[in-house]
Amino acid sequence: METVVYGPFVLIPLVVALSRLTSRRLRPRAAAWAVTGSALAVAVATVGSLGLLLSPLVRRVPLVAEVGGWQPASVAVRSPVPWWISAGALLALAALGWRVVVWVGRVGRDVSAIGRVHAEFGSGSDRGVVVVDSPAVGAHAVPRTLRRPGRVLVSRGLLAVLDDDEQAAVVAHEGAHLRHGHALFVVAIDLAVALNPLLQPMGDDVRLAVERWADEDAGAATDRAVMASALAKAALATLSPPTAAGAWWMHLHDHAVAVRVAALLDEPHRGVRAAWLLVGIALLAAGALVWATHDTERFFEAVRLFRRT
Amino acid sequence: MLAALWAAGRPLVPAEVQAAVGSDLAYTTVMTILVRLHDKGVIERERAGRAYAYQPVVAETEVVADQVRRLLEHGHDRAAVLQGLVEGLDPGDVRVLRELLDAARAVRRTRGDAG
Repeated sequence: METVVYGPFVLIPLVVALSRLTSRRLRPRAAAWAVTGSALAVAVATVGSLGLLLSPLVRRVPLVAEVGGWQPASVAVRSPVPWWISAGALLALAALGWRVVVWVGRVGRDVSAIGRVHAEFGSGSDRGVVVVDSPAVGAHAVPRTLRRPGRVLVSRGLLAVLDDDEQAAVVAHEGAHLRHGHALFVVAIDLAVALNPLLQPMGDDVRLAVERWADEDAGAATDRAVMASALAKAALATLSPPTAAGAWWMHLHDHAVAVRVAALLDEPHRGVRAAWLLVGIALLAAGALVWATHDTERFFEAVRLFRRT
Repeated sequence: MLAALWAAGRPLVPAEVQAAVGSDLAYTTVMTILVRLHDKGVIERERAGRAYAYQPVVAETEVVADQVRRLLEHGHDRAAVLQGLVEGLDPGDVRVLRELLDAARAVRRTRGDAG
């Protein structure tokens, strides 16, 4: 328990660095799966480790010790985890618990926002693209709900700056988001980040990976250069919006659009090897947690035996 | 042209498309583009008398109210899981994007010449 319990924490910088590389250099479908999966695995493992670090403190609570049949003092004396680390783990777990509550609230708000958007569409036809009569430049994939299928929204403002082929590519792009359930990847990575704030950069990585996934999907269905020019035009058009409502892009200062356009003009990324490294890290994290749990159980077993003799 | 078909909400014959587009495109040009879009599977057609009437494979227009418009105008912070097409652009990227757009145009031109 002494060292292996800290294992999942050691893996954090490794998984974050690999995720960044993966989301930019790999086939996007593999990248999205590997980054999301490894983030969840590392997040769960770190929470589990915090739980183990907290356990000696919990077992010193008189009532718990009474039930378990050991003496609180013997845990205190023999525990390999200093009390202040256990106390820190307690604080961290409380903060993470709050973050999960916030995450649940956000998912709930998203689901109700999606419901409200669906409610504004006529019930007559339940498939297809909705052209929104707005000068704003935008396109959105509105995920399916239990009762309604997913919809693609395109604004007139966006259609106006694109030619026919580009319009088809944009619709294919948004359709790919719906078909592959990309919203669920975003929800999952947000949960991982809630459980472990140090994984924050992986949230951006997954968002980039699913965008690139949809880009490549649409590029394969239409044409990659067409998808590239559609993206570049749309991005440039958001800079000079005809309405005053266009300032939201200022909140985000990443270079994701340029990265995506450049990727479409380059040869497609076919590599998947780094994804296996991420899978390996996920397995290591899970293994470290299992090992540490086993060690912890053995330790408390020893404490119990110590009391009996 | 695709936008005109979306806006119509019903199958259009080429003459109607030509009128809807409103530009001075020749009838044969409109015809060519429609056939090309049909070949790509973007639009479908049905017999309407002597001509074909075209409509988008999956498309319709609806007048939608505030919620949707706000979503489009204010972007992703409305709902984190609604994927927008482009989620933010650093002003410093403008030059890079212009160059990339030129590159994309060049690639498309070469393809167009070849095909």
